[in-house]
Amino acid sequence: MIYDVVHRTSYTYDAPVTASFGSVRLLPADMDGQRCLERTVATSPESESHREHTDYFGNTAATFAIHRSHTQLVVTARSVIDTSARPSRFADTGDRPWESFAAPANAGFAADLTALEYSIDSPLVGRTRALADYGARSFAPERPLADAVLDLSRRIHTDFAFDAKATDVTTTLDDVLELRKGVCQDFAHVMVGALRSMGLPACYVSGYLETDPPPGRARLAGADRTHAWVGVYLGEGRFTGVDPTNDRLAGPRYITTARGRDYADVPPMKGVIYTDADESTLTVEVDVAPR
Amino acid sequence: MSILATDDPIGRYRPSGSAHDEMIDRAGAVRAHWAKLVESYRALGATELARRQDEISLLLEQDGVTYNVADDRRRPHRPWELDPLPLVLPSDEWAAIERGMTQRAELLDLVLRDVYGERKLLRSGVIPPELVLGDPSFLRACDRILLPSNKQLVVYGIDLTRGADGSWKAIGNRTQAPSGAAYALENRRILSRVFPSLFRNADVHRLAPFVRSLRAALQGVSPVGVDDPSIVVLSPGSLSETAFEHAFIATQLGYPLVQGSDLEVRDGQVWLRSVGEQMPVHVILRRLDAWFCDPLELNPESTLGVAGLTDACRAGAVSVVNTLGSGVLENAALATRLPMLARTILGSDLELESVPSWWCGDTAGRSHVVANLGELVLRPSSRIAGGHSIDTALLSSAELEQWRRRIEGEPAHWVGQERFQPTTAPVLADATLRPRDTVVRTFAVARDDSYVVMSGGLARTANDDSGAPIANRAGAISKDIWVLSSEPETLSGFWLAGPGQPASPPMSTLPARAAENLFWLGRYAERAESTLRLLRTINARRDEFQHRGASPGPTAVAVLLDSLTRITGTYPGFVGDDRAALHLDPDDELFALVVDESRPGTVAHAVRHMLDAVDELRDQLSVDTWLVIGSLQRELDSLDPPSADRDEAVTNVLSALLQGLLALSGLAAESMVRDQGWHFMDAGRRLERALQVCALVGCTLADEHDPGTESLVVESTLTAAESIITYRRRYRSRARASTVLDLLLTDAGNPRSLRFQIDRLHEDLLAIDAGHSGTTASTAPPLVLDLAHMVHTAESSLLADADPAGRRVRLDQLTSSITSTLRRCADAVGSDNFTRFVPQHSVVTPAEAPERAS
Repeated sequence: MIYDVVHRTSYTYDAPVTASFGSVRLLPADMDGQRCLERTVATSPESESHREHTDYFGNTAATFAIHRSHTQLVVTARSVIDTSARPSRFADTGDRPWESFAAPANAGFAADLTALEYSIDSPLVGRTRALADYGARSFAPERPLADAVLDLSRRIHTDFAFDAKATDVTTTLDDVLELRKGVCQDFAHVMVGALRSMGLPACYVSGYLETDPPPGRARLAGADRTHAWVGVYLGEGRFTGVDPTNDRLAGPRYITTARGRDYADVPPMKGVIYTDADESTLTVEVDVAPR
Repeated sequence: MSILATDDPIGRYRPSGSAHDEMIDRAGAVRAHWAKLVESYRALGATELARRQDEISLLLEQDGVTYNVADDRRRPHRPWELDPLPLVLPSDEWAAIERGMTQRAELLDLVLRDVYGERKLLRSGVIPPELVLGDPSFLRACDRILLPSNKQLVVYGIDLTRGADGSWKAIGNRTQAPSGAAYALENRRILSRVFPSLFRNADVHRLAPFVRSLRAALQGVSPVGVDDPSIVVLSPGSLSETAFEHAFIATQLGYPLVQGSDLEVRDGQVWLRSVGEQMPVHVILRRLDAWFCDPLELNPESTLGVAGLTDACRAGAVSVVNTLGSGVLENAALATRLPMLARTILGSDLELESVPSWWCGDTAGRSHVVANLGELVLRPSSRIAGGHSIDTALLSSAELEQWRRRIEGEPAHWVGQERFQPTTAPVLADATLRPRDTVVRTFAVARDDSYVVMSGGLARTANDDSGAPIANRAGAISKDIWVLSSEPETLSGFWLAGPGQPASPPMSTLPARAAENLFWLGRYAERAESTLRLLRTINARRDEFQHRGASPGPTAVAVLLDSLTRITGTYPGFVGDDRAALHLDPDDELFALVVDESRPGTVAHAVRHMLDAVDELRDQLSVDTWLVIGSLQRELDSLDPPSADRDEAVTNVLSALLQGLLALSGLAAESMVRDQGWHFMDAGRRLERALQVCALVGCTLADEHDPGTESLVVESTLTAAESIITYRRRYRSRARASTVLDLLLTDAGNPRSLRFQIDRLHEDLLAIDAGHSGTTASTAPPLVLDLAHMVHTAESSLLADADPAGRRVRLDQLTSSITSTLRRCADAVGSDNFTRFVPQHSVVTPAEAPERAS
């Protein structure tokens, strides 16, 4: 499937902003089987400097700076992505017992910095006793990795309720585990944390998911969402994407924009602004249109 | 003889048991390299040594040397302490330290290049990956950022001490933003002044070449394509612990001292916000932990940094020294790997070992630490992860068990270090030399393919005999380190050796923040001076006429008190609802107008703000400034709490403050180059004095009084305006309003007149404008022309005329319109030249964006 993606982020301020600096991770790369055919990012007002670089995690990051006074900032990222080669099944190696992928049994991980990076604590996802207890129920000894991971995803999907108001930046992962509520970011963090607590390396993935319009209604441009799920690391640079929010594999209807240890590594956009404004209004329009 | 014996400072010094002592050997004899000095100290005697100690304290205070303690907002500046005895080391011993340090610096440099580059050392396990990946100082945003020089680690600081066996051991590495070099330079400056002959005869290695090496090293990391880099020193500001150091090092290097808000990233390049034109910045010596350096990519909470700095480094447009990611080298666990790294990378043994330590992140290390928990010091691996060192020997068995569990839970976070008895050195305390635990910090800077080490450094000793760890925060006493040269050095050897650097033209750019602080320094100094002159005048009048009934005296005093409130803007004061009561007993209000720092318009408020401006200007003002500044603060402090005879104390303090302020304006007149900075300070002074004269004349002469009162008020006005002598000489008559207005408003030759201030202000603004590149027209100079016109056309005799109700309406109109124009002019100077503060905010979009607004 080939998608035309438009992601428009708008901030409106109640007083002029004299300078605005931004760093965005909205440009999909060739990763997780997808191929990126086109991608651009533009700002309004126009940025006086625009740079792109590949970050530590392999994502494309773009930075911009605007030094003109403005009360509205619009960042528009457009891309064309071919997702047909994204796997729709768990990789074959998932038939092997999960222990063989986990530290310390997996000796191959010692020289694999990716494995190590995604199995130790990160700023928002630490390994805790509660997460280990929660995860352990899916990880019976010798159970094939794919079975165990999909079971964990199904349990999170069942146990947790979607509630956009339940969590905020101060909510810890253990709080989420207790509340059993949250948004895709929280569910992805719970799953990443549970996997890491079992010794399995896993990353946080941000991107898009093609959504179906309500039955009988036409597709509405701009009504799609940004989304987050989990990458289970299989070694040799390969990941399988699992989405606990929807309890399925992150197959050809998914588009990866960035991966990191947790959300803090890859927010779609972060910025620093200089202004006397107290209030800002954020609107985000995402359109994932199949060709 | 007996007097001499008790006056011998050395004779009764006894090292304390097991530790190595720097001065006395195990047999109780003075070590050979101390012999000459010990002889000199004996000749000086204990009394004289104590006297020199006092001299040191005085000099340090005069130089304004402090180590700030952030949690004490009221008195944040803690005096720096320097022991009169240096730590003495023979040349060959220092040479061994230099070799060891150079080797360690070279190793750490290779590690730094690797962990932000190929990470081969991690992949091969030579450095356990978790040691680096688990350290919050490993900044992933700084991946692949490399300096365009051979060395990635430019400045290296090390903490050393020696064990009971006499061998030197490293306690810690400082690679983030090593501090202490400026304190070492200052210590040397002071000791060589207090003990000139001692110092001369000792053939001590000089420290000055280190500054030159640092300058060369900074020039050496200049971005590709930049031949003559402009370099700045980035400081967190005047409240930082080591603010003295930042300013001192900037002054020594000759580079501007800046804060994050002085810098701006624009078009991928760093710029210094300056008066006139923006100056590009190519190299930044940062005295700020990396985490605070960039709110965009490192820490959104930081308001001390520069948004976009990381990306400018990534683009190679600027070199930050040390590199933003360099803090990871301070990891205590990394030190345990250095011997192996030396063998693997350099093929040789580590020359300067660390105090034996074990990292709990590996199995062997962890089991050793857990098994020996009651005998080790536990240190957090990462400095910024938080947590302090724990001496486990002081823990109960229950606490030990807790620690055991904690280590098992987060082993990679902890390092066990052998408890180590540091070397002791003699410290003069209470007129007696006592052995105190001593650690040494010294520095290396990159030069071409290797490093050069400072020939000396900063020794710190415990401030009591408790054996507690040595920390500046806890009030350590510092020592100079004298490395004795084996043969006398010739000066030419220092200055001519090594690769020559072309002399760069002096930096003429004035940072906008410095200009703003200079302007306010001028304004507050002048405000303090005029306020206290007025207070003194009123006090004198009151003394004269106290307890006399209705007569011109008390009426004049009442006019002056009312004017005081109006001039200083300290409403309600003497004109409020309880006017009558306050006029009857004005003492408390008058006292408050001297000491109440929190109330705008008081002397203390003006002095406080003046001192705050001075703190921000450490690198701009001459050393003598500190002589004056220190005394101002002390005088004000002496009134809190008030003494028994408050009035007398106030009188004395006002006189002393006036002396200090006069000394300050004397320095400004005689010791400051007439550059842009000086003109900003002078413009501030002129504007403020003009405002004050207008207010004084406008308030005290607002109404016509009976001749007796009038004459007293007018005389007081002249006294407060420091023009009474001139007036008497010139007019030789009873004071009359019209001639007073002549002298105070329109006289071109009276340095206290309004006209004089306006003429000078005009000159200042023209000089400031001459430095502008001229893209936008300045708005202040036209306002000064308006002012000049108003003053030049004023007719004193007309102004002095009162209407039938006794009000001098014309005078009131003139002073009001001049005052408002002066205020607009002050604002215009600000908007023409200073950076407007705009609050910084961080924004981050959520993972799952909110629904589209519909």
